[in-house]
Parts: sequence; structure tokens; C-alpha cells
Amino acid sequence: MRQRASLLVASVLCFGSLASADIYDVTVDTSSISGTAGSLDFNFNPGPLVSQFASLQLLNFTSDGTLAGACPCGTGDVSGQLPATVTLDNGTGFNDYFDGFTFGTTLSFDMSLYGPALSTPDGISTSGSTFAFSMFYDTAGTIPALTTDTTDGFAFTVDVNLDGSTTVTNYSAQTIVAPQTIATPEPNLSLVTTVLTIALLVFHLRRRVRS
Amino acid sequence: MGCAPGLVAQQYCVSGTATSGDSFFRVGDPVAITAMVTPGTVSCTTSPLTNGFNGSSTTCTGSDTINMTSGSQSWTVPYINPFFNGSYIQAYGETDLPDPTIGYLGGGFTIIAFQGQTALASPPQQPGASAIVGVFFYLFYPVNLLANGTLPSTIPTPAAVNSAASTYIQFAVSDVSDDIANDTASFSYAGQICAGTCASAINTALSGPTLAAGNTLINATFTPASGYSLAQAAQVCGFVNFDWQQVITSLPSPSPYKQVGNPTPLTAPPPFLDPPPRGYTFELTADNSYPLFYDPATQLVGPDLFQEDTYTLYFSDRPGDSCLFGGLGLACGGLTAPAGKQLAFTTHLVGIMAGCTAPVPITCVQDTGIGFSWASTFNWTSGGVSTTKNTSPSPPDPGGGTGGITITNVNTITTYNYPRSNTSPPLTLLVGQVSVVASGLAYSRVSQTFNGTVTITNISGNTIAGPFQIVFDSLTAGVTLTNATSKFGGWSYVTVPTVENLAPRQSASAAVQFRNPSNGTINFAPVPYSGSFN
Repeated sequence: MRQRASLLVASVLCFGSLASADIYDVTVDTSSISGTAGSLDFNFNPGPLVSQFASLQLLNFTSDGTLAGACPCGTGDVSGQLPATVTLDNGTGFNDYFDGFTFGTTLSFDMSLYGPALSTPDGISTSGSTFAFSMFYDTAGTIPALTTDTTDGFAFTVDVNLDGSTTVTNYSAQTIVAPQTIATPEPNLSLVTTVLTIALLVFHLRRRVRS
Repeated sequence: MGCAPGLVAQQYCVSGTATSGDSFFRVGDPVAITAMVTPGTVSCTTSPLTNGFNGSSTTCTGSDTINMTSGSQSWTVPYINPFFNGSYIQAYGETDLPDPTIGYLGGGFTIIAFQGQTALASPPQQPGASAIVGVFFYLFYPVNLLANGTLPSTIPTPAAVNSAASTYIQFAVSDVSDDIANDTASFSYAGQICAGTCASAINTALSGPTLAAGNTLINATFTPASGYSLAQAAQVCGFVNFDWQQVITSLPSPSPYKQVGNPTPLTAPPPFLDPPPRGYTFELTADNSYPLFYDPATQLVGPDLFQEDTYTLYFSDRPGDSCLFGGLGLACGGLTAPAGKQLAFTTHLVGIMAGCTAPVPITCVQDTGIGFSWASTFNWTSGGVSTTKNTSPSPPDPGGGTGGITITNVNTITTYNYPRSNTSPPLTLLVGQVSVVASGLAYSRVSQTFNGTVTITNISGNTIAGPFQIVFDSLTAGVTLTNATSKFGGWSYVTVPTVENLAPRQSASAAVQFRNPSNGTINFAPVPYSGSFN
């Protein structure tokens, strides 16, 4: 019984965290460089002062291009491998996923940002965190593609700000970064408590009926 | 005429009347007679000194003229001699000439002496005076004055003196034969003088810091170069005195330190001045040192045994924080900071600008950039309490404690120039007035740098005049700020672009770009300033 209650409480806590995730749908028209054997880079790093913990997931990666898959592709706090879900967090100074990629006509993925830096900004941190996505003409990742940012080569960046908001800066005319607003309502504590109470009562009554 | 390496040309124009042996006129004194130099062709010859002087001197003649005015009177000197490093000296009028007159012109500890005995054919006349005869001083070379400001009985040879000095003007007359007490002479001086720079007086003058007492005590001294006293070096730099200014860039929570009148424990970042206004609650007596390390009132009235003497400014500190890891957590409810947390300090030599008196406003403090950064993990107490700004020579309490001081950066070269090379307002430390935050750092495989922004926000109630600088104090070892404007205090800094002023709550950002070969965590303590570093 105590275990079931703990599970329910944990579910509520997880739900609260997920409710504040920022999700972006990313779509890139790569038709102009289709067939190019290039590369993709994703990194998510803290700032140089005090950053609150944040995580990021790359989901639903889809393309008619081909990932090289010459992994391990991650450096730092990175897990998973594209096209499956890849998770990065800002736990080290450099958290990067880099893989060779032969471009097709399009690629897309979802990007979900979550964690206390987004859900419960502490008000005392002094650095945000930043995600950057880049595409390259070459497999070494030195010649930027599909971006006006020829100096640094970013297609777009997403800043996690100190107030928990996010800011997208898009340098690529071929890239669409669309926020996906989650309509999931915040869990109402009284409602959860009521449901939990009813569940416990039902469970208790069933046990009494059986006995 | 250009100056020799290490010297700078400074334009002076002063005049006055000297009474033999004891009157001195310095740059900035009221000018009774103005003089204007019209540069012309000058030729110089070197010849042996005469009249009891040893060595040689350079005598220059030329077509230069000096136009002198006083009230409605004016006159012109057709040419002027002597000539030294581009400076022109005109002394005229000892009342009982033709006695040889010795005057001396110079600054700091080194004086340019000159002897004159030749009258002008058409001497300039001092308005309202009679029996005034102009004098050419044509023998001159530097000589050290005695402590009382008089010439030594034995004139050293030129090889033994420093011709580089002449940082302010002193003029006096002394009669070598008779009636010293009654002699007076007037003088004027105009033109450029090649003077030692502020930098030459204070660069490499920092000794230490050194650690003692099991690395729990840090000491340093500042003794100006070239034999300058603190007062002389201060004058060369446009200051009235020197002091230290210390910023605490890291003070983890829980913290045992509280500012007087504020129940909230102090933590950093954001950095704050050590001591804060009104001092710390652990201090036994009122501490009015802010915004300096030593009480400026004390500094201004005279030497202190542990702070300064005539030639040296001392620094000593022994912080102990029992709320650091491994400590007793006194005043922190028994809690301590996580392992790895430490106190961090940046200690700089600063000047109190001329015209400022105690209590010194923070806008009167000029940071020279000379100083050092250091950290402490010492977790014990002195006098039963945790202390920072602990200048007491007494040892920490017996019984234990772990950790110690580590020196992380030392810089002995200033970026400060005097006279100031631009019209920017004085450099002012903005801790407590401006907050600093940073974005995350996106890594670029193209530039191989970590890129982001640093943003300052005016959190004071007043508009702050720019320009604004952010010093990247304690930047992680091995990391470089590739787009730094320059360096200050040994640390890189960036100038916040385009913003001239910051109104209350207004923000401004600067792009930052780090090269980080290890790809490790990048960290620094931002220290904001307004004004210019040079």
C-alpha cells in the first residue's frame, strides 16, 4: 500500500516537470544540398557563471537523408543515438552530439527542453544554457551549410533564459523552428488528491469485499 | 622634441616667486605669469661643466621665443637658453645679482639643477619691480635634493643621477655667498618636460603576494620604483595616496559574514567590496574603509604601522570561514558549503584621486589593475569568529582548521596612464550597482569557440555613465577570451559596445567568445567597471 502511494506521488511530480517542457518542431529544407556528404551537430551547454540544471531531448528525427551512424557520437552528458531519441543535459561544459550525414531533401526533429531551469527557475542562477544546431558541407564539420552565420555556422540556437523562458535565434532561411505549445493543464493538487483518495477507497473497499 | 623612451611629454606652465631655499612651486599652483613657447630651431652643444660642477652639460640655443604676460604687461624673450628635454626655463630676478644664483627644477627625488650667472642683454622686466635683471641659467643637470629640499653640499657627477625624472616642478633660489635669508627670485616655466610616467613609478613595484603561517596568511607590499616615496609616486600618477581595493568574487552559502545593518548573510557572486559599507558585524570596531581596504581617513592623515610607511604600502589578510567544507559551521547553524567551494578575492592597488578627501567616494578611486587574485579554503576562526578582512597579525584560534590560500593570478603592470589619455570618466568599480548575467555557451565547430553573451543591468537607482567594461576575473585556467578588448589586472575584459549610459533597470550586452581546448567547464567572476582602463 505504501509503495502504491509512493508511485502515485512520484507520478504527480514527474507530470509537473513534463508540464513545463518547451518543445519545438524543427524542419529543414535540405534540397539545395541533397546528396552532400556532410554532418550535423547538436550541442547544449551551460553558461560561464552559475547555471541551473536543464535537459534537452531530440525526438522523432526523420529524414530522407542518411546518418553515418559512426558513433559514439556524443561528448559530455549525452545519451542515445539518432534517429532514436538523444538526450543532452547541461551537466558538463561541453555536451555535444555530432554525426556524419548525407543530406536528402528534408530533415526534421522535435526538440524538448525541460528540467528545473525551465520549470522552477531558482532566481539565483546567473547563467542560462544554450542549444545550438549546425549543418555542414563536410564530414569534419568545418564548412557551415544552410546558414547566414558563416562565422560560427549555427543554423539556429535556443537560449534557456534565467526566467525559464526560451529564445530562438534562427540564422537559416531553410530552417523552420516552430514552438509546439503543450496544452497539458497544470496538475491541480486538489484534483490529484481527490483522485488519489478515491483510488485508495476503491482499493480498500475491494479488499474488504474480498475478505 | 620627442622624449626618451620611458618618458612622456607633459605640458606645464607655472610661475611664481621663490624665497631662497625654502619655497617650492608645483604644477597646479596659481599662475601669476603665463608663458607661451613658440617652437623654433634649436641647436645644442655639450661642454664640460664649470664653476665647480663636474661632468658635462648640454647647452642649447635657438630661435625659440617665450611670450610672457602678466596682467596688462607683456614681453618677449628672443631666445631661451638653457634647454632641457624640450623644456624651457626662464628665471629672472635675484635681487642682489650678480651673485651666482643656483636654482633647481625637477620633481620626485631627482632635481634638475642649474646655475646661472649671465645677464640678458635685454632682460625681461618684472612688472612693478626695479633692479631686476634677467638671468640665463645655462648649466644644468639633475641632482638629488636633500630631504629638506636643499641642494647637497657636494654636487654629484651627472653619471650618478637620473636625468629621467622631472615629474613636477620645484623652484628655489639659494645664494652661494651671502644674505640667503633675504634673497628672492621670480621664475616662470613653460613648455614640455619629459617626465617619468605613472607606469614607470608603479610597474613591477608590487612584491608578492607571499603566503605564511601554513598558507593561511597572505602578504604583499607596494614600494614605488626609482626610489619614489608613496607620496611622490602618487603625485606622478595624479593621486593623493594609494590604497588597496579588494573584491570578494566568491563566497559560498551558507555564509557567516554579515554587513553591519543587514541581517542577510553576504554571498558572492555577485562580487562585493571587502569590506562592505559600514563593515562586517564580526569587526570589533566600526570599519569605514569602504570603498577601500584600509580606512582612507587613516591613510590620508599619515602612516600606519601595518598599512603604510613613507615608501611602502602593505597588505595583509587572513580570512577564515568556518562555514566552508570541513569547518564547524559557526553562525551557519552547523551547516557548511559543499566540498570544493571557496572564498575568492581580487586585490588591486588603487589610487585616491587628487582633490578627494575622506570619506572617499567610490568615484574617487582609480584602479591601477596592479594586484592579485587569490582563493582561500581555510575553514577556521580568529577570535572565535569567522573573519574576512582580517588584517590582524595575530594567528588564528588554536585547535585546528584545514585548507589555506592559493594565489591564482598576479599582475604587476598597469594600464593606467596619467595624464589620462582620453576624456572618459574615471574608472569606477560597479559592484553592487550593476548585475552581471550570462547566456549559455554555444560551441561552434567553425570557429572552435564557445559563444554567448554577457549582460549587465543597472540595479542602482541612478543612471550610470559609460563606457562599461567587464573584467573576466578568475577565468578558468587554459581558457582564453578570444574577443577580449584587452587585459586589465592580468585578466581579459570586454567593453560593452554602443551603450553610453545605463538608466536604472536598463541592460546592455556584450558578445563573448571563449577558446577552451579542454572543452571543460568555463567559469569566471565578472567584475564590472564604468570608465576607461587607459
